[in-house]
Parts: sequence; structure tokens; C-alpha cells
Amino acid sequence: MTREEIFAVLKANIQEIIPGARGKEILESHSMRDFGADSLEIVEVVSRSMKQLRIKVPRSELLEVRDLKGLLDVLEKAAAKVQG
Amino acid sequence: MSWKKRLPKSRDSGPTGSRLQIVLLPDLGQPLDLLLAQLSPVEREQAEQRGPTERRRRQFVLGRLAARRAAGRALVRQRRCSSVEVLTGQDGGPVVQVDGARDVVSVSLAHSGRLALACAWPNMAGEGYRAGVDLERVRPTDVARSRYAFSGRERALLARVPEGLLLAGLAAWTAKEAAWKALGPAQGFDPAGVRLRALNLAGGLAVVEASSGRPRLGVRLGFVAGPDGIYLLSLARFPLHPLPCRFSALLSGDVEHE
Repeated sequence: MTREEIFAVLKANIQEIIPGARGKEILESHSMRDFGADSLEIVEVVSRSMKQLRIKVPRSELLEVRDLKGLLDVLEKAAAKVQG
Repeated sequence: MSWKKRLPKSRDSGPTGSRLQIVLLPDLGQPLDLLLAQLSPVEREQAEQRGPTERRRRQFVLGRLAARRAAGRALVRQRRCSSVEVLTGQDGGPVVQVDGARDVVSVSLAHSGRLALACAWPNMAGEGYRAGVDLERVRPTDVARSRYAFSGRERALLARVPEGLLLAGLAAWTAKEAAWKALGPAQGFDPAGVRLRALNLAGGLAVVEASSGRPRLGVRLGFVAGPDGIYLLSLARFPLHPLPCRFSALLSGDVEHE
């Protein structure tokens, strides 16, 4: 699974769950907070994306993530482990 | 009945007296420019840097206005002041600046949907008092099943809550977030790391502990009607206040209507 494929899943969930992100361009440099997400919406995006991607990331690795780039790094690493 | 009429009305100042001031501010759709005009130049500059959406900027401004009012009330008995600003600190959290000084009063704030909630308290030397608030609009969510938000032990606890998984998940998450804010930056960047140990929705209380196991905090939970639905509010205080109280008593007389 490529980084682009993972980002596509993430973006689709962000646009569906966070009202402020609908119709907006989403970049790796953004954080979900930039689109007005509350903490619960962030949890929902992360949880749903992991489920759809069929990957599990230890919570400890997610606790320090601050933006979409950081989240993508963690998800990409977990996907590589599954594939490997 | 309008949402305003359903807010708590009591004038009782509650068991915290004037120590902790809580302000709840609704977004009633005022033009963003009018809201921004109520901020100081520095606050306005920080608001305008808040991402690409108006929703985010509106929430930011409402949060700052709620926090500023709460801070102003907390200061009333402490000192006279000519300017109160709520700025963004280095760790991203709100910092109150009173006539240029930063250690006079502290705030915690939260926003969700069309409500902003803030609490403020005067800093007393050596006391270590801290508080944290959170709110979430009640809506369909399966957060109670999230492996990211909750550990296996926490999910098992939520499955036993008689009010059902939806309310249990929302209440547990707001309790964790309020406690995480009260505990401070040592808890990491995400509230998922603190641990839920007990949840009694009927009694309006949760127990949450730091990721290291200590300290343990009691978190008050309550519901309030907002302009677009029902919201779940949480308030965590450290050290734990010894008097049991309902959240509605803490809100009494401090709800802003605009």
C-alpha cells in the first residue's frame, strides 16, 4: 500500500467526518484542527482509517502525532509491517 | 422551549465559590468580523492564522471570548486590571496575559459544534491547583469501540455502562480530555493516553488517572442544551475537590447568554 493510497483513505474520512473540511483541499502540512475538528472527530477519523486500512498502530505511537504528515508516517510504517 | 431557557438558572455560586469561574458561550451566527473585533490585535492575529476554514476561526474566537470572560471574573476579587488577553502559549494551550503579566490567572477552554466552554481560576503561589474542561455535542459515534481512544480494559468498562455505548463513549472521552488538560503537558500530546478507571453517568462522575497511574482525578459530567443540540460537558480539577457536587451547580450563574 503506497503513501498516496493511505492518504486517499485518510482524506475521504476527514471530508466525511469533519464538516469544516468538506470541499477543501487537504495537504499533508495540515492538521485536522485546521478544519475545526474537535478531539472526538479526530479519534473517529483515525479509528475508521485504521479499520479500513486493516492496520493496527500502537496507541503510544499515535500520541505524539501533530499533523497529517506525522499521522501518515505512522500509518505508512504500520502498513509496511503488515505487507512485510 | 428555546435552548436558552433550558440552561441552568440558579444563582447559587456552588461549592467552588468564586475560585473557579465557568463561562459557556454559544455561536449564534454573528458575522465573523464582529466577533474578531472583540479581540485584541494579538488575539486577532492568532485567530486569523487558524487554518483555512471559517469554522475553525469562529471556534477559536468564541473560545478566546469565553476564556477572557472567565478570566475577568476570576480576577475581580484579586486585582484591578485594564487588559486581559488570552493568547496561545508555546505548547498550544491558552495563556492569560493580565496587564502584560502571565502568572496571575489560568484558563482551560474547549469548543465543539456551536458552543465554547471556558473555566478560569486565580493562581495561588505554591498551590498547584489546575482544572480542565471539555465538551462534545451529543451525536452518533462509535468511539466507545475505538482501540485508539480506549484500551481493552476501558472498552470493557464502557460496555457495562447502563446508559449504552453511545453516551458511555462520549462521556468517557470528554472525561479523559478534561483530565488530560488538568494534568498538563506531561501527559503527552493526546488525551487517549490518560486512563479511565470508573464512569457513573447517572451520578455525573468519572474517575481518570494519569498515564503513570498517579494522580487520580474525579471528573464531573453534565448535559446542557446548546443552539444546535445537547452537549456533554466535563470538568476535572486537581487536586480533587473534596466536596461532591453536580455539574449544574458549578455552572450556576456563570452561563453567558448572548
